[in-house]
Parts: sequence; C-alpha cells; structure tokens
Amino acid sequence: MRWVPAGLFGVAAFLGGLAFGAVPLESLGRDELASMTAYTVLLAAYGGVLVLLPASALAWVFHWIGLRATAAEWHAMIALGADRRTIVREASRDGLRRAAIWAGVGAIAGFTLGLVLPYYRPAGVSLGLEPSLYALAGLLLTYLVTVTAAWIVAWLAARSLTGARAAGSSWDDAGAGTPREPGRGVGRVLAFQFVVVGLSGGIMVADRLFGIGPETVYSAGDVWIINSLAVTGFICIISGLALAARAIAALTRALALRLARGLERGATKGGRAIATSAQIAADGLAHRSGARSLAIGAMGAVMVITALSSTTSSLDDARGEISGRLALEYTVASTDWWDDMTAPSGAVNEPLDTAVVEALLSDPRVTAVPYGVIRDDSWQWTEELPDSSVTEHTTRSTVLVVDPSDLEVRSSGGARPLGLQDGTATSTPAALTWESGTFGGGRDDLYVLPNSNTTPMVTRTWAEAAYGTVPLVGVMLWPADSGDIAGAPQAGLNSGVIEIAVTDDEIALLDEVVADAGAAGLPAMSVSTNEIYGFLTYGSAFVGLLTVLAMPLAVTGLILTVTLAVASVKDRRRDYATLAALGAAPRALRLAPALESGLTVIAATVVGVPLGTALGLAVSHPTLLAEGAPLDPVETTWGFIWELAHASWALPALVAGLALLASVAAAAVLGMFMSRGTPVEELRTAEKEGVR
Amino acid sequence: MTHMAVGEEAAYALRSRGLTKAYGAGDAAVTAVDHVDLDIPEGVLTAVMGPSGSGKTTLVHLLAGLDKPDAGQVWVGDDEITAMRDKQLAKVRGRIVGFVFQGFNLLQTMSARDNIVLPLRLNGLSQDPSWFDALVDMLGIGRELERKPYEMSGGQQQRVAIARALITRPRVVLADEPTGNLDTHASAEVLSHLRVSCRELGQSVVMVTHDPTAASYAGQVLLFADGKVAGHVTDPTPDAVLAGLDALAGVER
Ligand SMILES: Nc1ncnc2c1ncn2[C@@H]1O[C@H](COP(=O)(O)OP(=O)(O)O)[C@@H](O)[C@H]1O
Ligand SMILES: [Mg+2]
Repeated sequence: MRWVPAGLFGVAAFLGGLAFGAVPLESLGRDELASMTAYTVLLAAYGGVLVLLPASALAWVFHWIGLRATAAEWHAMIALGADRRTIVREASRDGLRRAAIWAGVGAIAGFTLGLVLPYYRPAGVSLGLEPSLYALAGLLLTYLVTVTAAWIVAWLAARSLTGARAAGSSWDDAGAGTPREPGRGVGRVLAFQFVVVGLSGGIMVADRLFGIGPETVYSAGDVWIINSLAVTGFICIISGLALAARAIAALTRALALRLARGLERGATKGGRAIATSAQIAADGLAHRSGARSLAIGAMGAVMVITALSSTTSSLDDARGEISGRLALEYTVASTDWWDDMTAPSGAVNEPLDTAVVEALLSDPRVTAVPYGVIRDDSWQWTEELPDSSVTEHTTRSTVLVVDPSDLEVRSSGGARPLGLQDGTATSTPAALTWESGTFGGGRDDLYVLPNSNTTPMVTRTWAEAAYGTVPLVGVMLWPADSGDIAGAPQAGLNSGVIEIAVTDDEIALLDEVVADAGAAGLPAMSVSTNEIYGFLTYGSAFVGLLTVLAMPLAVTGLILTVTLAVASVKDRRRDYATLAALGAAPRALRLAPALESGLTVIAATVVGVPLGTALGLAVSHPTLLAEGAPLDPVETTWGFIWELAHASWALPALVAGLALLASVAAAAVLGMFMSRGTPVEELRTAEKEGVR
Repeated sequence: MTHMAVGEEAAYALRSRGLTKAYGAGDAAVTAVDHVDLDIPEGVLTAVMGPSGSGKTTLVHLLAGLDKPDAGQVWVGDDEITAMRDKQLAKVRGRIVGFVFQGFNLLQTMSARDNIVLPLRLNGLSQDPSWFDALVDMLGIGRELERKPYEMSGGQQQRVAIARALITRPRVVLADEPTGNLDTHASAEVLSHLRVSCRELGQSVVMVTHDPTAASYAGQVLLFADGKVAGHVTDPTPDAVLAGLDALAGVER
C-alpha cells in the first residue's frame, strides 16, 4: 500500500507534465505568450484543484491505510518516551523520497507524451523533441509543486496517526478511550464552509446578474475591485468544491446504505444469505469515519469529473461542428464591405437587389443566408504586455446582421446553440480578414460570445434597435451538397481552432450560381485561408483541458475506485472474521464485500453523473455564467435543453460499468480469499495487518 | 470427571478425542493442544485453569469450532463438528455455541445494543425482548447500550461480549477469561448467573479463568498444562483449586 500515495503524486505529475509538454516549442509571439499565460493560470487553478487536491486527499487516505500497522508501534514507542517529532519527520521523509521518484518519472513521462503525441498539440505546431524554455520551466514547477504536496501530505498523515486522537482505532473519527462529542468540530467546519460558499457565491451571482466589476479600468481602485472579484471567484470555486465533495460523499453513502438496507429487506424472503450479505454490507456502509467518507467521496468525485469532462467535451465537439458549418466561406454583396474601412459607422446602406437575393435563396445548388452589415464606432483600448509595456490600439469592427432563423438552413438551430440571441454576437476566429472579433468591445449592450468561433453575427432585432434599419447587403453561400462539415472541429486542446477548406471546384460552382442570379458584377469574397485559429480563451482552454484529461482521469479514477473498494473491504477484515465466529453463513460473507463495493459504485454513479452533467452543462453554457451576457429565461433554458440533447454519457457509462465490474470482481476475489481461513486465523491475520 | 453409563452419550455437551493443534514448524514448533480427550457433561459449569501459554485459549477455540485442529475430533452434542462443512459449522457457531473472546472482538462500528443482537440478525433469529432486558439487567449495561465499544471501559465491553454470547440462548457457552476485566462484585454476578443457567436451563458452560474464586463457582475444574489435561478438581472451593494448582506447579518443577 505504501507505493500508492507516491503513485498518486506520480499520476498528478504525469498530468502536469502532459499539459506542459503540449506547450508549442516554436518561439512564442506576444499574443501567444498572453494566451499561454492564461493557459498557465488555468493549469494552476483548475489543474491544481482537479488533480492535485483529489490526489492529495486520496494519498492521505492511503497513508492512513498503509501506516496503520506501523501506527500502533509508533504509539508504543511514544509511550516509551520516543520523540514524536522525530517519528513524524522520518515518516514524512520516507513519503518525500518515494514521491520524488514517482513524480519525477510521471512528470517526464507525461511531458514526453505531450511532446510526441499529436493529440496533445495545438494545430499547426510541428512535432519535435525540443521543448521551449517556457515548457521546461513548467515541467520543473510541476515537479516541485507535486513533490512538495506529497511531502506535506505525508507529514500530515504521520502527524495525525501519532496524535492522541488516532490512538487505537485508525479508521474512526474518534479515538479510543475518550468518548467523543459527536460532530461538534465537524459541524463548526461545515457551518464555516457554508458561510464562505454563501458569501463568495453570493458575490459571484451578484456580479453575474448586475455586473459589480467596472466595465473599464480607470483607476487603481478598479484594478483592486477586479482582482478582488477574481480572488472571490477562486475562493468560491475551492470552497464550493470542498463542500460539494462532502455532499457527494454524504449522498453516495446515504444512497449506498439505502440500497443495501432495501436489499436486506427485499431478500429476507428470497435468500437468507443475500439478506445477511446486504446486512453486512449495510453495516459497513453505515460506518461513518473520516477516511471512509473520503473513499466514498472519491468514488463519487470520479464520476462527477468523468461526467463533467465528458459533457463539456461532447458539447464542445457539437458546437465546433456548428461553428464550422456557419463559418463564412463565400459571399457576394452589393459592396466590398470587408475591404472598405472608411465607410461611416452604423448600417451599410447599399441594399442588394431583391431579385438577386430571391434567386440565390431559391437556387437548389446552394445554401444561402442573407445578411446586413453594421460597423461599430471606433474605440480605443490599451494593451498591457507581460513585459509591462503598454500599447494603444484603435479598433473598429464590422459584424453581419442576420435573422437567426435564416441560419437554420445551414445548421439545425442555427447559431442558437452557440449562444446567438438578441444582445449577443458570435465572434470570429482571428484570421478572417475584416476586424470583427472585437465587435462590441466598446458597447455595453452587446455580449461577444468568446468561444463561438464562427462568422461574427448579431441578430437583426438587436441591430435595428441599436442602429436603425439594416438593409440586406449580401448573401453567404455554401454548396448545397457539402453535406460534410466544412470546418472540421479539432479535438483536444485545439478545440478553439476550426479548419475551413473551400476547394477551387466549390468556388467555381458558387461563382456560377452568382452569375446565374444576375450578380456577376458584384463583389464576391471567398475565404481562402485553410486554417483559422481561434483565441485560446479561458473558457475554451478549460474545456480543452477537461477534454484532454478525460481519458487519463477516467483511467486514474477507475484504478482508484478499485483500489479503494479493495482497501475498504480489507479494512473490515476483523469484522468479517468476527461475523464468521458469530455464525454468519460463509456464502453471505463471501458475497458481502462484492455487494458493498458494487453498491458504492452504483451510488457513486447515481449521485455523480447527474451532478457532473449539471456542472458540465452550466460550464459549457455560452451565456449562463458569463458576466455581462444576457440572461433571457427562454434562451437560457433552450440552451440547456440543446446541451442535454447533445451531451454524451458514453464515457461515464463506460467508467461506471468498468468500475463496477472491476471493483466487484476484486472485492469478490478478496471476499473469497478472506473467508478461506477459520475465524481465529482470520482474526490473527487482521491483527497482523493492523486492522482494529 | 463425571462418569456416565454407556448409551447416554447425548448427555455430553462437548467431547474431544485426540485433539491436537500445533503452531509453527521445526524447532519453533509449539504444540498448544496435545492429544486432548475431554467429556464435558451437560448442565455443568466447567472451569479451565492453567499457566498462561498452556493452551487454554487454543483449546476453547477448537471446542467452539472457531479453529481447525491438526488432528482429533470434537463433538458438540451428537454432532462431530470437525467433520462438518463450512455451512453446517456456521450454523453451529450461530445457534448452538456462544463464545466470549478474550479480546471481546466487538464490532467497533456498532453500538452495544447492535453488537448484542448481532448473532440474532446474522442467523435470522427473532429477538425475545424480555430475554434481552434480563441479560442487560443482569450484566448492568443498561446505560451503555447506545455507546460504541471504544466509548466503553474494558469491563463494560466484556459484559457486552457476554451478553452477545448469551443472546441466542446457546446450548453450549465457551468463554475465554470472561471475568478478567470485571470487579469482584460484577464477576460474582456473572458467575452466579452462569451457574444458575447451567443448573436450571441445562446450559453447559466452559470458561477459562485465572481466578480461583471464579473457578470455585464451577461444578468441575480442569487443570491444563503444556497442552494437556493435567488434572481436575471435582468439587472446587477456592482452597481446593489452589491446592490443585500448587500440585500442578509441583509436577512442572
Ligand atoms: N498464532 C500463534 N502462533 C504461534 N504460536 C501460538 C499462536 N497462538 C498461540 N501460540 C502458542 O501456543 C501456546 C498456547 O497459547 P494459548 O492457547 O493462547 O495459551 P493460553 O490461553 O493458555 O495462555 C503458547 O505457547 C503460545 O505461544
Ligand atoms: Mg489465553
């Protein structure tokens, strides 16, 4: 068991190495550097929370399990006058030594895989075994942080195992001898957590609804507010996760217990052995102890994270497909608005001949979406680069004005799944030629959807309310038979990138259609860029991270689930022996461990998957959590329903199924193994293993 | 030893023939129970005494079917438990024999009450509330019922362990130093209860003890040394028991 904590930190370091191995090796430009900084912040925040915290918690559990036999010796030694601090130091040094090796192996393995596997590399970045300094620094940081965490956990575990409280019963919250005041301290911690989550969550909700933070930064005070909000958000996430972990553990346990008791009652008539098994399993599940709660919570958390990452990545794929389909490939218009940067602000007022529009819309060879165009006022903004130099920019942007329902011909639901509604704008990948990604940057009444990665568009209703009548200026065209996705969404970390490939044949066909519609003389434009890079935004990087981590997390979770199932059964070895001595049927005793872990996995699935899915839906939702975005009940709900219909449960189902099979099998084998000897032999074995 | 006429075998609660159990191998081997033949009559309280390490615990484990001998046979009533399959053996442990462990072996996760009724639940037996109350009353653990074992003193845990062994009204009770953690008063109470239930209910009790006073409650005392029955005292008073033990020590010297 002793290698498990170190192994867990090895896995954490592996994931960290993987993430940094994926950092491009080419020298980074300023924009990339900025986005990589965002990426690093994300890694630190989410990676730390999603990987290092659970790893630490579990490592702590396994330290407890592994050191239990030793703990009795320690107590004896302390009672005989040995120095507790020396013992703790030795034990934590041992943990540090093991973790140093495992984390090193993990970090380097992950880093190498990140470098070598195309799946983990942003598109357009060549492969090579020559990491950037930036990535190497990240690797070193990962290693140091992981090893430090391992050390701290080992120290804490050794400390608490040598403490007076832990004397005697190791799994129990309460120590032997001194009767405990039930749940006093726990209740206070819980209340404190509630207060913290309530306060920080309240502030975040208020910020979402009313926008507490300043729109533009004018003074040091504004900076302070913005920073405070960021910190509050972080506190909210951390404390919320801690509380959620508690809730997951409590719910999972309650449900597993309920299932076991139900089975006990239900089976009383059927089979005596099954009823007894269920009763033994229920007794085990009812046992409330810190470590066991953590174990059950970990199983629930595995299911939450699996469902979360599966939901976000499947929705990301579905949206990527829509982004690609709605990306402008070819257009004909009354004027070359895409090149003309001198025209006045507001709607482009050169209507396209209605006959041309009609002809294009009715041509079966093409899919056509008519649009108007508005231009934003120019606005200034300053950019602060990582080297602290400040650049002034003047930006003016252009956006297409569409009836959202017109987009239905190209993609079911149009751009609604991307969050397009009155008051939002889709935003383009940077490489489209006209400046558009920042449209609305100067407007308070328009929210730019950062991850939409498609043609920049706003709704006609919003545009006309803001700018007056917007005539139809042009038509976007796609070949009707291009059933396949024009822009293929990229997997993994590249989810912010779409590819558009318009072939020469297609352009020739579209030219012909335009000529047939009597618009041969009008300006037309096709996007020849093959690849369009999206911004690596906070949102998409988070999604990307979850997508990339989905498989490693699932595998880790699976291994953990099985290990924990086995550990928690082993922990009851003494109980099982006593039950055998009291006449429990051998069959019941053999079945009980399998039942106990099976029910736990089932409960973890039933609790974790809906929770993770709900979380995934919320995180993926284009407007729900975005500060400044409209919060229209109909649109928000529609978004949720769309998400629900497009989320995939394949991964959680697979993980749950495998976890169930594997942990039940492992527990069954263990159960068989544990009931081989006589009760007295089993009691002796339990004693030898330090199970009390 | 009480002698019975041939054909009245059923009157023995426990019997063993050639019962042997050794631990370890080679030079380190210890024969904890060495070819022991026993006939424990029904309705009698039998005490087993002997120096520590003489094999008493091993013996009662074997008699209760909690461990397997290397050789020899054990009968509980008419049934040879050493020939039984696991399933039948579990029935014997659950319904016919009650056992009090030297280390109690209470389930730490359960309250005293749940520990006491556990054998009933495990064996699908219904609870007799008046019997439960009588036991609790006799053992004086009414105030400890909702406590967990780790919240109780050794003596309290011991009483819970005794209640658990008696709750199914087993025909045979085996107890490994059941009064080791009790004060004089409590131990007198437990012992007289055991004696009464032997006499009046026909229950048979075998108890390991160190205490000559405790042994004096017994109908017979077996003296155990080096894995063998080294003698017995049929009408034990504390003095008679002490004399027997002294004689035993003399033999050893
Ligand atoms: N599990 C074991 N492994 C090895 N030796 C044992 C074991 N249990 C008991 N013994 C040895 O067997 C002998 C009898 O032990 P036990 O039955 O516990 O004696 P008692 O209960 O009379 O003190 C002792 O010498 C003891 O050391
Ligand atoms: Mg003993």
